[in-house]
Formats: sequence, structure tokens, C-alpha cells
Amino acid sequence: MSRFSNKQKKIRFTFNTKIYIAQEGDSVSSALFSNDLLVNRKTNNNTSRGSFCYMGVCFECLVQINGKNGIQACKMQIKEGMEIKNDG
Amino acid sequence: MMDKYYDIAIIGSGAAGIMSALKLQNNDLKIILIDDSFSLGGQFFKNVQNNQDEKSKKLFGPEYSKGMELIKELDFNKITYLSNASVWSIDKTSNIYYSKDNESFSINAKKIIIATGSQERAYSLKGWEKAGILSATSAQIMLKESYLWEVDLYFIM
Repeated sequence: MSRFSNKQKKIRFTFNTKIYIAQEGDSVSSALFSNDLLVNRKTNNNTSRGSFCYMGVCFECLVQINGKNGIQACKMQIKEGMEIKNDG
Repeated sequence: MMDKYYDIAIIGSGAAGIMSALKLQNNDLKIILIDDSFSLGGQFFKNVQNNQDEKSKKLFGPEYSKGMELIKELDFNKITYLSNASVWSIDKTSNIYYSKDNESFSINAKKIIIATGSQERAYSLKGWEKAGILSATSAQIMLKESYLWEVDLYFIM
């Protein structure tokens, strides 16, 4: 996945304890998507869900951030050292 | 501590919210502009304040750049701007309840303008709910906010 501008500061975060790199200004949703991390959570039937609307209305993008569940990834900006996990 | 009482509350800081604020700001009114994202501009003018270089302007076109002109006209001495705040209820006495940083607050406004825009309606083909499938607006948001493009995965509905 490429970006037409990558002058922004690089931000390190972890997803399910593995380290990844994002850019300053990314939402958590786009930080995950740009690293080919498409699954934010599992439903009760164990099917996978990822960010869909990117504007805070669909609630498909829920993740766990720094130990807190049920956070909308698209409405949160990525920050250095953020610990992100699948919601649940 | 933020004030609790306002003359006008505008919910949403996209094109309609910004225009409302511009029309009202010189009328000696106490105005609050509430938005649930981290930047002004809503979806279409997403991240316009950071996309002022020539490359972005060329890519996103003249209509997009107009967003910056509008934002520049906003007078924040007259308007209280509240970002990252999601309104979740308004009651009959015009109390507006919102959450910000996992905490709930309320304000009161004599008049309320709801400028929350539209929501894309995905036509549900089989498998539309699968992780990694996006709508057209999602792709546009990622382009303007994170400069992501040349993505093979897009399936646009």
C-alpha cells in the first residue's frame, strides 16, 4: 500500500503485541489498514469485521486501545506507543 | 471550565456547519461548534488545513481548497469550537449531551442547528460485511487524511 505523501512523522504502535509503523495524522483505522491489518474485531458468530465507514457511524471498527475495549478506531488518532488489540 | 449556556449550538463542522457559523458569527451571539472528529471540515473537506501544498491542491481539486477559505473566515473569538465530542442526545429543554474522552457532559443552547451531514448507504451485495471492504467515502477519507492510494483492495459500492 503506498502513500502519495510520506513526509509526516512516523508513529510506532503495536497491534496484538507486534510493532507497526503509521504516519502522524492517521486515524487508528487508517494506521491499521495501511499495514494490511484488516480485522479489527470478531462478531459473536466469530466472523471478522474491519473499519467500514471511517466516519464514526457504523461501529464496525471497534478495537481495544491501551486496555480499553469498544473504542471506535476511525475516531481516534494514532499516537506513539499506542497498544492496540482486537476488540473483545 | 467550559460555559454551559449558548445562544446557538451547531452540531457538525463540515460544509453546512461551517457555513452556519459564518452566517451567524457577526450577530453578537454566543455560538458553539461541536464536532465528533479531530479536525474541522467534515468528510468532504477532511484534513483541508493540512493539505495546502500544491500536490494536494492539484489532486483534490479547487472545490476542496475552498474549504480552507471558509475555515479561515471562522472567528474563534466569537465561536467556541469543540472537537472530538460526540453528541448522543438532545432533550426537550434543549440540553445537549455529548461525550468527549470517555466522559459525558451537557450544555444548553437556545437554538440548535443539526449539520451532521449524510451517511453513505451501502448496497449490500453478498459478502459486503467482510473485513477490508470499503465504501467510496472511506477511500476518500483515507486519501485526504492519510494519503493512502494505489490500494488494490478497494471494492466500491
